[in-house]
Amino acid sequence: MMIKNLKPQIIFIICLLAFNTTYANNAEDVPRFVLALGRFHPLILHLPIGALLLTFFLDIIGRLKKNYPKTTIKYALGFSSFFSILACIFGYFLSLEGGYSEDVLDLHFWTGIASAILITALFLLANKKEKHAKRLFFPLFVTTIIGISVAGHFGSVLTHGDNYITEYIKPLPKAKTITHIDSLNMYDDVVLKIFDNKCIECHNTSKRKGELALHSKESTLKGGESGDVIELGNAGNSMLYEHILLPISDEKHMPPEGKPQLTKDEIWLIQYWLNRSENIDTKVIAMPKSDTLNKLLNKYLVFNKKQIEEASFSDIQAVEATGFLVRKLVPNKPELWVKFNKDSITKKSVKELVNLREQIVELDLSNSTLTDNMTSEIKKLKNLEKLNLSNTDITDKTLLNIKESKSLNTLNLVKTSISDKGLESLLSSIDLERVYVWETNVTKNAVEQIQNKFNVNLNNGVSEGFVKITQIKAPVLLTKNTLFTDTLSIKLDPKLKGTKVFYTLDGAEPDSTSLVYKDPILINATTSIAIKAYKKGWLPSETKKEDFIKVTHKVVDYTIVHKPETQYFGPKKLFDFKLGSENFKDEKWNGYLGNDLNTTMDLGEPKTVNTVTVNCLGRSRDWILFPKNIKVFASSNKTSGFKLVGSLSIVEDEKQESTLIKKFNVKMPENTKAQYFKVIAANPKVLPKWHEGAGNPPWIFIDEIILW
Amino acid sequence: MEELSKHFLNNNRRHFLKKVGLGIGGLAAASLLDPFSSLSASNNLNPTGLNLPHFAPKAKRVIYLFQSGGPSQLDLFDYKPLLDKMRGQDLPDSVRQGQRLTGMTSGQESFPLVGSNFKFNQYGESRAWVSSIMPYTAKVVDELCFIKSMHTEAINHDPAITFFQTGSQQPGRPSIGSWMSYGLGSLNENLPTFSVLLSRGTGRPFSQPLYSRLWGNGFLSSLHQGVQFRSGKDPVLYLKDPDGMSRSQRRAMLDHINELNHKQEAEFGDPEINSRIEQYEMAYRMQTSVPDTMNVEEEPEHIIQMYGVDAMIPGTYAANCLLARRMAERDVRFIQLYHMGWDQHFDLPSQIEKQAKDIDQATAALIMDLKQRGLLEDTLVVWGGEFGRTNYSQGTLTDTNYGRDHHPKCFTMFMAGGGVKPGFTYGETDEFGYNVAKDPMHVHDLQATIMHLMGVDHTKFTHKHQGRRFRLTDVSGHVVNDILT
Repeated sequence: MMIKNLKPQIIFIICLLAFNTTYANNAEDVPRFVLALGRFHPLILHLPIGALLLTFFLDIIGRLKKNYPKTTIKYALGFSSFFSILACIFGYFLSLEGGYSEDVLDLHFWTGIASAILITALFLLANKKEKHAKRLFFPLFVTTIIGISVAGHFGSVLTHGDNYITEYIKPLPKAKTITHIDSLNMYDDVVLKIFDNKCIECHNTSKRKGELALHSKESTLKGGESGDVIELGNAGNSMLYEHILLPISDEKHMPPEGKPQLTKDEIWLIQYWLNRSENIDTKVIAMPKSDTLNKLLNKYLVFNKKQIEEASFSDIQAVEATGFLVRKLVPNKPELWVKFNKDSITKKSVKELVNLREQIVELDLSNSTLTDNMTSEIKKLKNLEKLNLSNTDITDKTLLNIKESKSLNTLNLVKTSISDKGLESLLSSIDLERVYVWETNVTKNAVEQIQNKFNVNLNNGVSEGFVKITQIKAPVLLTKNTLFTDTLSIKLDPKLKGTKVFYTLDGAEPDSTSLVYKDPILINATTSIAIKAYKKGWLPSETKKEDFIKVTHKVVDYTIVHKPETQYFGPKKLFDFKLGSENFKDEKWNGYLGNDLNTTMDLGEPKTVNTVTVNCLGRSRDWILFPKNIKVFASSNKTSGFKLVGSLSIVEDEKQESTLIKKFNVKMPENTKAQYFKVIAANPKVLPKWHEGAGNPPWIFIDEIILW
Repeated sequence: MEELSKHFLNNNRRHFLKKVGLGIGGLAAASLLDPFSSLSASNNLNPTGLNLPHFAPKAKRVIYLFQSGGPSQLDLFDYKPLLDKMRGQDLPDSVRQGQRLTGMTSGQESFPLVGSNFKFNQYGESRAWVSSIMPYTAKVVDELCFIKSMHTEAINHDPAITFFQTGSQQPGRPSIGSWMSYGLGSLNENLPTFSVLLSRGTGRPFSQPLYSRLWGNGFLSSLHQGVQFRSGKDPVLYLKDPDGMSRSQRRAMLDHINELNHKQEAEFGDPEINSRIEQYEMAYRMQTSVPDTMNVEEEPEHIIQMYGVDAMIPGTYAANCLLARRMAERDVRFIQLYHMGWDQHFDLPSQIEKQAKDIDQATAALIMDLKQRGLLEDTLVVWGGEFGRTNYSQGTLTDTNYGRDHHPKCFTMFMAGGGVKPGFTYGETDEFGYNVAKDPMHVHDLQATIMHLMGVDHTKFTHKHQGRRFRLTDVSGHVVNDILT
């Protein structure tokens, strides 16, 4: 019965093997349902494995507990057997898709079938009662498990690659060190690196633009959809080189616009490699040499980066104790950034750094009292990359001390006493990327020469002509109140040191022969002051003019026709001797919406008035205009007999956008003497046509009426 | 009271054993995984104790020149000749596509397109477009990395600035400078890690104010809030000793207060007590370091000339730029300037000319001054506002005058120094200057990129608060690698 059951299985396997001489070459010939079944291989294959292991476990437990579950084991092995055979069949179907490495596939195929046979054999043995069969059962079981493990392992190699298991077990591969140009391999060590950076993103195994892959020697030689892309010995005939040289606007230019482009140096190297290589493995030593080549290849040398050890905490603390700040560039890595954090530094504290000689990659000793005789220890910091010595007392002697610091790439020498000679001799012994030499003794000519001679970025400060000579600011008036009753001391702040301030007291334009401001200017009468500042290296300031008005007449009482709008602070603000600012909400201004200002003032007794000044604010954007005109009337009677004594029409270009404050002076005829004065500042009533609020009533704003 | 009882519950015997057990077990497990990390954690030398930066930073410090109000990109950097051609014509609906407008122009009957009144030219080797009101910036374009395709979500000042500062439009989260202070710690224990300087623009002197919560610490320890430096007699408020108190008396007082505070801390375990102790100590050290930093008197004449005449007038943008450089020299991590007054709804041409004059020379000078001192290579300078301005005129368009409303869909910023490509322009707007046409950069992208330059992975740098892990970029943001060197 057993044999009967087995027959079709074995026949099936034999059939399979019979027509399976090679794994199908072409997935297209295979019916789709077969391929679909093949995809179930990974699902099915785990069933016999799991079942087999469980059975093994039950077998051992059964033996130990002397309670052997014979039937269970038989059924379980039958289950394993069935699914192992199914897995074999599906596995074969899966292999028809192609794309697997044939050697490994072979191994997996045969070990898989062997496992299936072994399991089936176990199943058959499980029922046997003969003694030797029983003896055979256990060793066979162990063999089966080994077999299925081997088959499974090769299966995993097929899907995950052969270093899947070992990837993290093995130590990190050490970078190959190449310290001499001659031992570079032009393709492996140079060209492949360029391709790797700039081309492989789109030309690799999974993404083959134009069917070209540049990730390996073979694929590069194979070319793309238009055939070969390189012709060794002839760059001009190599499509790859042609496409690189196309203008960037060309659609075929490589790398495409928007992707990182090849640098000039890289293009040069590719050209040299194509032109001068006989085969793709040509070493640099076999190529004709040139200076450019030697220079460019320097970049591709790989030096042995020594593993730096973590600094000990006590060493770090010792360094910190002498006034340094110590920080890690990145936690969990040993590299340190160290900065001197105080002013006065000693030789001893610099010496302390030697304990961290491996770890320090950035050192900042700037703004300290560092001198030449403290810097000899710096050369012991062998991994130092960035050194800042700016604003210290060092000279060329210190540069001698860092002549051996090969790993150094950035050096800051700003505000030190180094000179052309020291810099040049330093640069001829080590390669630096950037050196800052602003405000040193290094001359402008030398900077140019050195920059041409060495491949270094020298920074000598902002180029001349950056700053245009500009006007100095007019002095600031510290005396804010321009109205006074008795005397006034006017204080100025020239703002900039070394500024000379000239002024006149009659409003005339000041020049360098005018009065010089030293102490506050004392005035006791109404004065127009004009101030101007001069300073070497700057253009003279604008002239600042200000009227300081001595108010001789106090308003004792007043009446007003229209009160200002309620949000302002009442008409008494008109006579408080305080002028408002450009901010009309500063509580000093009175605003009148559509109304005139019409007020009658009582001076207490008849007084002579020369001028009536009305201080107004205009800001058309906020619908604030200047009055249309100002009229002044005088009378000796509070309510009647007012005669017009002065008027002023105001024509202002109110389209201007900024805020303007203006004093309008209405001159009185000589000897105008009266006790009561009436001032009417006429509201323009409607906003003009050009205004966005045309037709609406405007505001007028007045903060003070001054009689003097 | 509730918190107190919780605290007592925290420390019963069962909790103690649990904590110790987990601690030892965890330690053992951790050292199995990586034999060095847990032991050297205390040895990471970051004063904050966090394992930051995640990778080696390109920039050690940031100077963020915030242009508050929303500078008009169309009048400064984003040249759109089509707008000149179509001046006065209505903005096509196909361009606007229903973008919401602020209440200031949503009622407007027409949206007349308007190009700039100012002439544009290309400068430098990078041929960057700059308008005529930024002549000094034009000289340094080869140091700058322009981002023409910034866009944001907010359309009004406060939410937009809050968004830029904290990554959220709603107030309450920490400012970017606070995050950096919290994560990376101080490089100069005598000055605040996050320093703030304010100036008012002359273009619109009475524009909306800024609030101190913009540089607030949110839910982080108050140690990390921005400290404002003022222009007056007291640069930092409440720092001076009262008259008649000597420094040694102050020291003695602090020692006693600290003693009391330590006792209190031991009893209650409230971390804010430790912050308070540190703040007292910081204030004590700042009593000498701040006057030294603020002493611009020692700056030589040619440096003043470089920054412009305003540099000697405290409280101006130019003076703040000079101070920013002095702070950068002293390794202040995050220096934030705010220049107000860029909100040109009306009278844009006259106002923006003044605004530009305020900042042009000083910004260019700051960049060049950092460069000649060797500081630019590890200092990141960021310039920009909270949104852009519309390509149509707010209010009536005349031959000489126009205004522009807020516009979130595209605006220009620039960066310089620490790890960004010099002489580079990223992103493009469409020919109307209304939408981003290529390579958009969202506010969160900018924040992610700034953090990246500081060595921080913005997705990993979080702080747990109220049961949730917060990060500056919330749940979005990508590092824009294309602008990195």
